[in-house]
Amino acid sequence: MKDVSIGQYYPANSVIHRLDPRLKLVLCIMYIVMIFFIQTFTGYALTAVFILALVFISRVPLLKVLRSLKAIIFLVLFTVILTVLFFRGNPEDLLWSAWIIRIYKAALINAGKMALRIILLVLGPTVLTLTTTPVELTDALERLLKPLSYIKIPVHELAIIMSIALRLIPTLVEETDKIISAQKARGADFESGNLFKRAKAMLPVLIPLFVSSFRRADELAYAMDSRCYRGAKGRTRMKIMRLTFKDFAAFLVMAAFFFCILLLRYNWFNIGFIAEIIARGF
Amino acid sequence: MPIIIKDLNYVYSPKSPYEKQALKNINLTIEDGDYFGIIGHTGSGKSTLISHLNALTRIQSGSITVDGIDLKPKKLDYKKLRSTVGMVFQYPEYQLFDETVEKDVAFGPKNIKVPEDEIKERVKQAIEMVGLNYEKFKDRSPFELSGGQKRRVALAGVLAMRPKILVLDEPTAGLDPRGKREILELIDSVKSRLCHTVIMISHNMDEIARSCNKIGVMSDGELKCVLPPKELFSRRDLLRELNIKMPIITEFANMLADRGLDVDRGIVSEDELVDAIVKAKSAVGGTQE
Ligand SMILES: Nc1ncnc2c1ncn2[C@@H]1O[C@H](COP(=O)(O)OP(=O)(O)O)[C@@H](O)[C@H]1O
Ligand SMILES: [Mg+2]
Repeated sequence: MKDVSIGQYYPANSVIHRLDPRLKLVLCIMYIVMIFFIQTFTGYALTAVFILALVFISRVPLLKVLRSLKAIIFLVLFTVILTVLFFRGNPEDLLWSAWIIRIYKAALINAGKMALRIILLVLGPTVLTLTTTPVELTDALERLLKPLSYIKIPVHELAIIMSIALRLIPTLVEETDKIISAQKARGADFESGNLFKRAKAMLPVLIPLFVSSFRRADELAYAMDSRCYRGAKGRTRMKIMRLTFKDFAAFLVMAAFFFCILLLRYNWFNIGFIAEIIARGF
Repeated sequence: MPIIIKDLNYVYSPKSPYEKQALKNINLTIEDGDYFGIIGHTGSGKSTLISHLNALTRIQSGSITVDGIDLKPKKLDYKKLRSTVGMVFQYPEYQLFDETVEKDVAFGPKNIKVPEDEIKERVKQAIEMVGLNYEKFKDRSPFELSGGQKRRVALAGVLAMRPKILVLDEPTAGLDPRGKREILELIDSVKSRLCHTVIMISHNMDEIARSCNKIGVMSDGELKCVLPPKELFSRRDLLRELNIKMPIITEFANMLADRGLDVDRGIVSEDELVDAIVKAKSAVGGTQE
């Protein structure tokens, strides 16, 4: 169980891993916004190629990336089925009907686009979390939200709470593991019985876990206190994030791609015909 | 019946970037009545090895038989196995959870379906075996005890299952010298009264040398050697190669021997050392006269 890594970070040595986390966060948001501008299959296909290229560059195994889709597979299926069942279009579009079920061609197209949209939408943040450690992410978030601290939102405190929580997750997982082993060694059985029985069987694990969490929290508070931790004021950083050339390059690539999507969508400079050609090509 | 381990290998998180081979080709037999010590640096695989013994970690490759039970099959009689092999983990006090000491100690026997009236008797015996007064402690909350008392209660929780084989992972970690000695003495008495075979992991060479009749040395997932303490600690080349310290007594004996006193370099207990010194001195005195 210890192989539950924090979040789903996949350590590898790639340009994407080394990009500034703040920038990655911004790019991810840009990517998500961009998805909502896409309306044609051409656009989705281009985006799919784009994100697959990113995965390839990041050296994260494709299987790992796809695994994160497992979580949303039901959402996708649900959306597709509902769309197909309840869509009411032109009568001449009707493909098939029986009882109260009517399936239209437009419904299938719509459902397909919707599914693609959800999947592509999830892939963006997936690539982000696979290539950025949670600690980097909180740090980046803190930096990006810094302006909010001028309107008295405790950004630093929220960030530190989050990073402590993140830091403690693996520790707690390990601890849970140990306690489960210890109780199993005393003959505890977590695998059989009905739901109620199993929930009750977890008590001998949860109680020691709570006790030790409180102890840990206490000790941590003392440790922080004794090193004069006083919150955000006057605090400097050990790791200073700096934007470098590769960050600008990455930003340019993303912006250019976004621009292409917009071109396709709004037919700026009348070059929507290119999309036509690409679409035919497919 | 002995514990027989053959060609045991174990890999954590196989086929991932975190892959780690924790055990490499372990072959080991632990006889009935052994007090078997396991030493080795942190991360050398000691805990992984012992967690195989009651199937908390399942065998990936190789085979293990414990007291005649083959641990290879997927379906095992866990209750029987876990009442045969009592496992005391590092810092066992962190596993206490029930309202009272009595209930907590009864957790194990209840799980292995010991009859109700027998449970009470077992609990009483176990609490007394770890040197606590049953009447005084049975209704107290385990959370309000001192560190040493908690550890005893946790130990009682395992002993109440009446295991034949007792496995301890650093049972004295984090205790003061007196607490350490008391726990070791307690284990000695448990060994003579209840658990015929004891396996103990320790980082403290004095404890290991004092208690065990055989010592296995682990290093980087391999079992480097199995030797009686006297032999292990008198082989300086081996100690240096494996980066193991000597017990203080042995070190002392060596210093004396270096200075020309005729004492054995493998001495591991105080009494032996005193005898040896007396003997050597009187021999020296005898020749001088
Ligand atoms: N649950 C686990 N998941 C992954 N690796 C582990 C796990 N437990 C131990 N390890 C690794 O296996 C090796 C052996 O660990 P362990 O058996 O605990 O050693 P020891 O008890 O001798 O300190 C170590 O390198 C450790 O990091
Ligand atoms: Mg260990």
